[in-house]
Amino acid sequence: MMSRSAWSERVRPLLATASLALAGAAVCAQSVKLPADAVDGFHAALKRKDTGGALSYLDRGLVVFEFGKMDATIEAYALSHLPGDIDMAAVTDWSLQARRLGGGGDDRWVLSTYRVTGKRPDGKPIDEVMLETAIVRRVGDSFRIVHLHWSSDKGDLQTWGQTQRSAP
Amino acid sequence: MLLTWISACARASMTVAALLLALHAAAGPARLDGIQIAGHDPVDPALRRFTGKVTGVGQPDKTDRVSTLRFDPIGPDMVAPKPDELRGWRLTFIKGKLFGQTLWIEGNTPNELTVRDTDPSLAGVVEGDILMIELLDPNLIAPTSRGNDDEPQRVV
Repeated sequence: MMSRSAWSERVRPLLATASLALAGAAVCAQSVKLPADAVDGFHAALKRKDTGGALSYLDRGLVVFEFGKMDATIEAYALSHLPGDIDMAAVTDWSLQARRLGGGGDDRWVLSTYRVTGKRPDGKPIDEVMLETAIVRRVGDSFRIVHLHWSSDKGDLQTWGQTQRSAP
Repeated sequence: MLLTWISACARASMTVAALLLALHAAAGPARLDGIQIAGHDPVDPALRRFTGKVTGVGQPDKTDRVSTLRFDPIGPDMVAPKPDELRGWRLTFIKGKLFGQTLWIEGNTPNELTVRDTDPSLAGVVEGDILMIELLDPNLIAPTSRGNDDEPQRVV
C-alpha cells in the first residue's frame, strides 16, 4: 500500500499540472468573439472583483480617458484606477440603456450609455448617466479593449470625485 | 514690467507642467503617486489591497519551479505587511511577463512572499514587476476565477 507521503509526492505534480491547465483555461476563457462582449465581460469582471479577469479583456496598449484625465498605460490603469473601478462597481448597478456599434475589420467601437445607481460613502445617492466609448481591437480570435473613455451627466459629481482623488 | 514677469512665470509653470505630463506618460506606475489620474467617484474599498514592486525572485527548486519573490511596498500609505498577513490573499501581476495572472499567497515576511505549490512558477518575474494583492470575500468571487482553489480562503 502506498504511504501517504509517497501518494502525496505522486499526486502533487498532477495537481500542479491540473492547476496550470485550469489557470490556462481561465485565461483562454476570455476569448471574446464579439466586440460588445469585451465591454460586457470587462464590466462583469469588475462587478465580481476579479482583477485578473478584468485585465484579460484589456489590450496591453490600453489608454483610458475619464473626466478630462488619463491613464497613459495599462499598468498605470491597473495600479491606480482599476481598484477604484472595482470599488465603484461593488456599490453600484450599471444598467445598459443604449448601445451603438461600428467600425470594421479588426478595429471596432462600442458606444454605451448606462444608468448608474448606488450610494456614495457619505450616504448620498448615486444616480447618473455614464457615457462610455470603447474601442476594441481583434487580436487573434479575440477582441480586446484598447481605449475607454467615460464621462457622466453629473458635472458636480465628477468635480467632487476628482478633488477626492487628487488629494495627497 | 509686472506683466512681463507674470507672463514669464506662467510660461515657466506651463513648461514644468508639460514636463510632468511627459514624465507621467513615460513613467511606470510607481511614479504616479500624487499625480491626478482618471477615476470614478471614490467609494469605500471593496477589497483590502496591498501593492508591491518586485525586488527579486527566489531560487528555483529541483523542478525549476520558483515560488518566492521579494518585494517593496509601493503606493500611497502602503507599508510592509506583517509576517503571514497576506496568507490566503490573491496576487495579480499588473506589470511584467505574468501580467494579469492570478496566484494565491501561501505565506509572507515583510519583504518576501511564497505562492502556493499548486500555482504556476514565478519564473520570468523580474525586478520592477508590479503586484496587486487583495483580500477577497470568498463568497463574492466566482469559483471559476479562482482556478482550482477548493479551499476556503484563509484569513489571518
